[in-house]
Amino acid sequence: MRAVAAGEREAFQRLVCLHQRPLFGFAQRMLQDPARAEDVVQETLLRLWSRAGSFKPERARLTTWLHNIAHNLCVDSLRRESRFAPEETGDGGEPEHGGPSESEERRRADALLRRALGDLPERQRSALLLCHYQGMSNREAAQVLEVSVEALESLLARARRTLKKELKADDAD
Amino acid sequence: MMPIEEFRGLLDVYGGDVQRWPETKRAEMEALIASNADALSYLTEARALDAALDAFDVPAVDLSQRVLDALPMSPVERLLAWLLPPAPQQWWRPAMAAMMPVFLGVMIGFGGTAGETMDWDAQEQALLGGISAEYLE
Repeated sequence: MRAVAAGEREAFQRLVCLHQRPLFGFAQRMLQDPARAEDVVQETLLRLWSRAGSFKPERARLTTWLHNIAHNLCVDSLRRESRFAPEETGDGGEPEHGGPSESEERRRADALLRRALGDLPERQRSALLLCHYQGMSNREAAQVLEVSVEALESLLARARRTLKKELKADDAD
Repeated sequence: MMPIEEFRGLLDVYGGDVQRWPETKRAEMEALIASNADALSYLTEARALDAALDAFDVPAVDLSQRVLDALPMSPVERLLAWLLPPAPQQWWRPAMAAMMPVFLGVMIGFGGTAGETMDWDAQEQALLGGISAEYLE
C-alpha cells in the first residue's frame, strides 16, 4: 500500500488483480446488475489509488476497507435506482411435458433465491453477503457496515430467518 | 445442555457450517444435535439455506484493464500517450514530433543567414567607405 500511495502503478495493478473478483462478487450479489457492479468495482479500486495514503492498516485489513467503500457505493447505487430489479435468469418458459426437468428446477430455485435476497433490506443483505460469500468474520463484517458485532449478528439472524421462510413458502406451493 | 432456542439463534447467525460456529459453542451445539431431533431438523434447514446460497453464482470477470485504463495520467504520461497513439491514422503525431528538429533547424538557419547578410552589407559598406575615402583623397 505504501508503494501505491507513492504512485507505483505496478503495485496498484497487483492489488487490482487480487481484489477485483471478490469485490465484483459482492457488488453483483448486492445489485444483481453486472454493469452497475462493474462500475462499483472500478470506482472502489480508483478510490484505493487516490486514497492509499489515508489507509491505516492498524485499524482494518485492506479487504475490509475496500468492502466498506464498495458497500457504500452499492447503497448509493440502490438508492439512486430507488428500486431493486434483479436481472432476469431466463426461467420464464413453460414447463416441459411431464414436469420440470432438474435444470429447470435449479433455475427456478436460483431465481427464487435471487428475488428473496433482493427483497431483504440492504443492511441484512450486506451482512449475509459479507459473512457467507466474502468469508468475513462477524467482527470484520461489522467493521465494513460500521455497526457493532451484536448489531451485525442481529442483521444476519433476521436475514437468514426471512430467507428460510420464503424458501419454505415456495416449497409448500 | 444448550437450550434449543439458543441453538436455533446460533444457526441463524452462523448458518449450518460447523467450521463457522464460534469455537466456544461448537461442542455444545454438536452434543445437542446428537441428542435432539429438533436440533437436527433445524441444522438440516440451515444447511439447505447454505446450499441455496452457495448455488448463487456470479460470472467470472476481469476488470483489471478497465480499472488501469481509468487511472488519471500524469502530464508526462498524457504527452507520451498523445505522441505514441495506438491507431495508425494518428501516426502523424510522432512523425510531426520527429520533424520538429528539422523545422527548428531551418528556422535557425534562415535567421543566421539574414544576420550574415547584414554583416556582409556592413563589411561591404566599410570597404566601400575605405575605397571612397581613398578615391577622394
